[in-house]
Amino acid sequence: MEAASDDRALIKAIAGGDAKALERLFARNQTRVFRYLTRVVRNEAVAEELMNEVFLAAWQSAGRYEGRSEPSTWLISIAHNKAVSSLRKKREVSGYDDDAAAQIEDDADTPEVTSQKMDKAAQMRAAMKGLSSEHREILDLVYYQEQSVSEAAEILGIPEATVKTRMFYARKKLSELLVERGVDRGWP
Amino acid sequence: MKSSTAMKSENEILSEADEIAAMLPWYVTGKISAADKARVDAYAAAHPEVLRHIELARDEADVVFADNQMIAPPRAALDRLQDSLATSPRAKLHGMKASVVDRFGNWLSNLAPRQLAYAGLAAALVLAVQMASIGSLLQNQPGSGNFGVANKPESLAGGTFALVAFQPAAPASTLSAFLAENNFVIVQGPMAGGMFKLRVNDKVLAAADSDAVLAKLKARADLIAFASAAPQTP
Repeated sequence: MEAASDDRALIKAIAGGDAKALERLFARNQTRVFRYLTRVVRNEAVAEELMNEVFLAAWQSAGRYEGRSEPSTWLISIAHNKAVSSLRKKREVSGYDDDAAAQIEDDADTPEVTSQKMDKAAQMRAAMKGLSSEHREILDLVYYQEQSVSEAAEILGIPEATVKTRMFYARKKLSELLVERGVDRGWP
Repeated sequence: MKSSTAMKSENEILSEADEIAAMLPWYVTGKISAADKARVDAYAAAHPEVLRHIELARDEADVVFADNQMIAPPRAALDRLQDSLATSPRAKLHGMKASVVDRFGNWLSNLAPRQLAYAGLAAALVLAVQMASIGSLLQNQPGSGNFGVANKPESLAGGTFALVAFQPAAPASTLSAFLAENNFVIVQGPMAGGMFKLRVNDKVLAAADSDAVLAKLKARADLIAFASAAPQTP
């Protein structure tokens, strides 16, 4: 809570035109924001570009931050919008669908062989790559960004009930992908 | 990012077991309401398999956390942000004072490097105060909210102008009072050679009157190091 309080003070200073406060906010949150963006857009160069845009947007709109949400939720919310916009543009320009490509099996081994080669965590990591960007995002928001249901709902712009069900189906899909790799978690 | 299949799935009604399962990720991270936590605990007490499901969620959290930990932010990201800030409209607005002071500081350095090199801490402090004061002078010009506005062509249109260089040791308060008493307004600068452009009158003065103003400027050698007539257009 102390970190959030410090970030609130920084955002207030940024609203008053303090560029040094923006640099401090950046230093405190860049890792979190960059990791979120990288995981969603799957490209570090694009994530770096978007992170720059996120903090510029924070600079421009700090005066409109009302303090109702946590500073981290506010920043990730901006990052989410930037990521969605970037992915949409990419699809429009190239017609390339990362989500569809991610679901193409990426190795020629049988599930049994694959299972023997990799430990449990590596299996799960590989399976997660097969999730849609939407499902990967909710996993990251909850497990790494540690956003509550209401905070995730604010970031994604969807009802809280939808957040819960999206997370549920992301995990269910993960189980299916693990089964395809020869790992049965016994759930659902 | 949303497919029609996902939309349909997200709107399906979950069974009680599924509802509990849907809460487990937040149960694991601790970001769960007290009411939901109590509901999970009560359900788990009656359905021991939920304890294993909680461990599955913990495994997922561990992998997601480890994957994120492997991503290092780019090293030059702050430099890039600072570059972007320098060109953002809002930075121009809020960075004006510092910019003017910085440029004035550079002007002083260029004008008298040897003097500055020999100046002690006390002199440096005086100069710093003067730089800040002249920065504020630039921002408090009548009819112009700030230096950026003063640099606009309309601020330079019409009137009689002079090019001046201020004495580096001139007390800022005295300089400010002198400019105010005479309705002299700094409209541009510092320019090459550390010159500033002053509007000395709103109207175009006759040559004799213009000379008289220049004489007044030169008479204050304690404040003005150099003064000459300036063209009416920037």
